Amino acid sequence: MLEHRPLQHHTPLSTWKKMTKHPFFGIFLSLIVMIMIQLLGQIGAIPSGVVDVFAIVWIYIIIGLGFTLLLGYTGLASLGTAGFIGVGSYVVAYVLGTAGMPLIVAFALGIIISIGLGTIVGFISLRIEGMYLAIITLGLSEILVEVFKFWTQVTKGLVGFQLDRYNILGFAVREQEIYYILVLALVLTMFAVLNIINSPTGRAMLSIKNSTSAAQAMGISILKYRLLSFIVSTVLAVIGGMLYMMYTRSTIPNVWNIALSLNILAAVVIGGAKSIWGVSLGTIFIFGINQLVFARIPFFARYGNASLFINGALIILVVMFYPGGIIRMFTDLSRLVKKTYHTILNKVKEYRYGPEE
Amino acid sequence: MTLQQILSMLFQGITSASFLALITFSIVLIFKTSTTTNFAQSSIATFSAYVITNIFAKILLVNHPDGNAVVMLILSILIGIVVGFAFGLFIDIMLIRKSKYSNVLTKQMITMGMILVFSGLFPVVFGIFAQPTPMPLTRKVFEVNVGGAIPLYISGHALISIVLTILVLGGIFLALKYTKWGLGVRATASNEIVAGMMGVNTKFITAMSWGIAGGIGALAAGLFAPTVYTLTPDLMMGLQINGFLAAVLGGFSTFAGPMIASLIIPISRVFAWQFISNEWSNAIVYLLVLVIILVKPVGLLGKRIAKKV
Repeated sequence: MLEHRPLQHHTPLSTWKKMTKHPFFGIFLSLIVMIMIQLLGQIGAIPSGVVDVFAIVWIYIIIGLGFTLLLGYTGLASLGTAGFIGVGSYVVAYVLGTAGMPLIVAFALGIIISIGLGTIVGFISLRIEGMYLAIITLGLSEILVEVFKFWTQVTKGLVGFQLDRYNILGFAVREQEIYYILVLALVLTMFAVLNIINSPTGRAMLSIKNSTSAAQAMGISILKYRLLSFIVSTVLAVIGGMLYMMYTRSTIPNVWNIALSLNILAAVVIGGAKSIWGVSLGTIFIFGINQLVFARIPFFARYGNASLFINGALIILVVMFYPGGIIRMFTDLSRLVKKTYHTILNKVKEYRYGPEE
Repeated sequence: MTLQQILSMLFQGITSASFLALITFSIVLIFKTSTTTNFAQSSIATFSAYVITNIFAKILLVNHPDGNAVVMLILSILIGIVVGFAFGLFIDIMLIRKSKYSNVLTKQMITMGMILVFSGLFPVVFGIFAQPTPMPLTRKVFEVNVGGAIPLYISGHALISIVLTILVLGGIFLALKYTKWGLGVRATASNEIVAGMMGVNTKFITAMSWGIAGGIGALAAGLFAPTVYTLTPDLMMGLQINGFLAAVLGGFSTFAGPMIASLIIPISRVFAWQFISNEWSNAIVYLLVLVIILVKPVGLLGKRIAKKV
């Protein structure tokens, strides 16, 4: 006997449900939220300082999304992120400020440099295993900071580089317009990283993280995927640095230190290193909440760095007891809610119809 | 280039090598017993340096203005070492022991988290302003005539740092070789599970190693702080990065290799500073070390350890 199937009607509700299930729906939603923040800022509902904080957070999400391919998928801990961001900021500073060339040249140059750097670090990671990699990348980052400090013809040295207002394609742009460029870059990065994660490439990277030998035995090329993840993460870090320079128009060597690398690591770990939403939430927590909430509390305002204590404690707690990060909490909570709902439902049924035999 | 100049440069290099050797040794000791690179080593050491300076300058010197400064300094350094020891013990017992069977990356990230925890603690405990480090020993300068026109100037502080480093590290090397604790450390380092089966109390050995590493770090910070005159939260960070590079350069699997490497790095920096460029000396030395590590990843004295799949 044929099973009776109800006919599928395309009601508005079912279409909506289907849309929300689509992986790109979240990206679309966050695009709306990001644009809303800028619009609310322009009509004065949000102070412009808050919009600036969010703009910086979007930049760090781009960098964190690159970092999560390394940490969450290929299983490589790198402490060189801050140095790479610094490279991006100085490329924009030099091309726009000193050489006076258009922005597109800066982007081309930055991407070429970052691919070169990523390839170098990727090959280093093949020679040097696991734990030592963090040390080597830290050393590399130190060399980059030394270059920022002392190559004064290009970087203007310890005092930092301040950029004047500039034109994009002949238009004089302000922060409001650059904000939309940031949002566009973030949305494109989210698409790209989501596609990498949900493709054979992402699964191959994950298998390398779980066991290098087993992955190799299955025919997965360690060389190819380590190199790829380092190149993608370095390119995203350098692009993040370029966007940072475009938005804030100032860069100082001492900003690009190990604390920034550690904060990016904290953001990725606390949020959940395996999902782009985890990274986004973690970055908003580390870089956004810090500026927006803690800076208003008198205790934290008085002791500058005191909020780092919370970041550090959270890394330790998450790593030791809750490896999924904040994003795991949502799935766990929804599971808990469903479970309690079903137990209550069963209790009600038992009460109504008597206990089951 | 006179003999006197070369000797003076060598002395400079050895002085900075003495701080570096202490930090490198503490890093290697922890690596041997817990198989993790302790990134929080510099933070523990800096915390102890703050404790030493505060006890010396704000408590002892204020309450006993005409006491013997050297005795008070030694007392405050001893207290600082105890604080470093306690922090090392605390991190091992509370965090590292609990995550013993997790993977390498997890333990490494715990120590990275500790850096942030400490950076948050510094301003709250010790205030947000940089503190000067008073040191009575730095003022004494000895003149040694080596035959040149200008005599060699040797600061008392540098001399004491070198002597103390040699004494402490020599004592610990002897202890590693001849005491039961040393045997336990070597057994734990070679294979923790088998050592535990043979009756070695690996928990105690590991905890003691963390404590001793913390204490050595405190001593290094206490000696290093006066040479830079001010205390800042990232006082020891540069030394720690050098220490890690020295440990990798010498080979993490041995105790002697990192010590040799921590002698090589500062001396070559001093010579690069003199002969090539004073701005780029740091970058040149880092680059050289990185290239050597790339050519020989196991380090100068390290042996390749076959990994079981």
